[in-house]
Amino acid sequence: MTYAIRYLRRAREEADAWRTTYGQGFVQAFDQWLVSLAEAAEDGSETTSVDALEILEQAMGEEDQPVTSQWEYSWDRFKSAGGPEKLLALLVLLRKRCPPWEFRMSSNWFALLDCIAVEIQGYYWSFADCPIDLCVVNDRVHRGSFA
Amino acid sequence: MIGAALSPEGTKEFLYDRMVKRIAERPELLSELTDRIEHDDVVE
Repeated sequence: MTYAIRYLRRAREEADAWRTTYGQGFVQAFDQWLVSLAEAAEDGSETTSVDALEILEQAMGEEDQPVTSQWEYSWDRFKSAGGPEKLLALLVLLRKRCPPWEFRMSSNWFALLDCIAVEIQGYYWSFADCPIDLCVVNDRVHRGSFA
Repeated sequence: MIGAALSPEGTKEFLYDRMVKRIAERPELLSELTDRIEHDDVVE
């Protein structure tokens, strides 16, 4: 194993809080998920993550309009909340980093009880063809119920 | 795991949808990402 899983400070604090709150079953599944992301990045078989920078650039569009159809439903709300400016600031930061640096995103659900699950979206970067460091840089928990 | 049930194309489409919806619902996520990448230390 040549990779290491590391965190940005606030992501570490969040992950530790989840581990304490959600219990051992969650801890095992969550850690296994991070390992699977690292292994996929290491061997180049990243089928459970996407290039987050590519999505952000598509979302930004070329003429202040969303080119991704999923944006249509809430584009006005996004604009009124300063979304385009926030998006541009992140893009400027990410574009300073050159390949093989990759900014990726993945998402997974973790069962907590029979009827409750938590979705975690992980944003991280990886480097192709060299030892892997994963940094989960942002997650937000929300719950869903299953009928 | 996502990939266990979906094709690679389906997984990509699913993740695109999840990411875009999250950002559209909560644009401050973008500011959080920017701030963390710029300012947070990397820890074990």
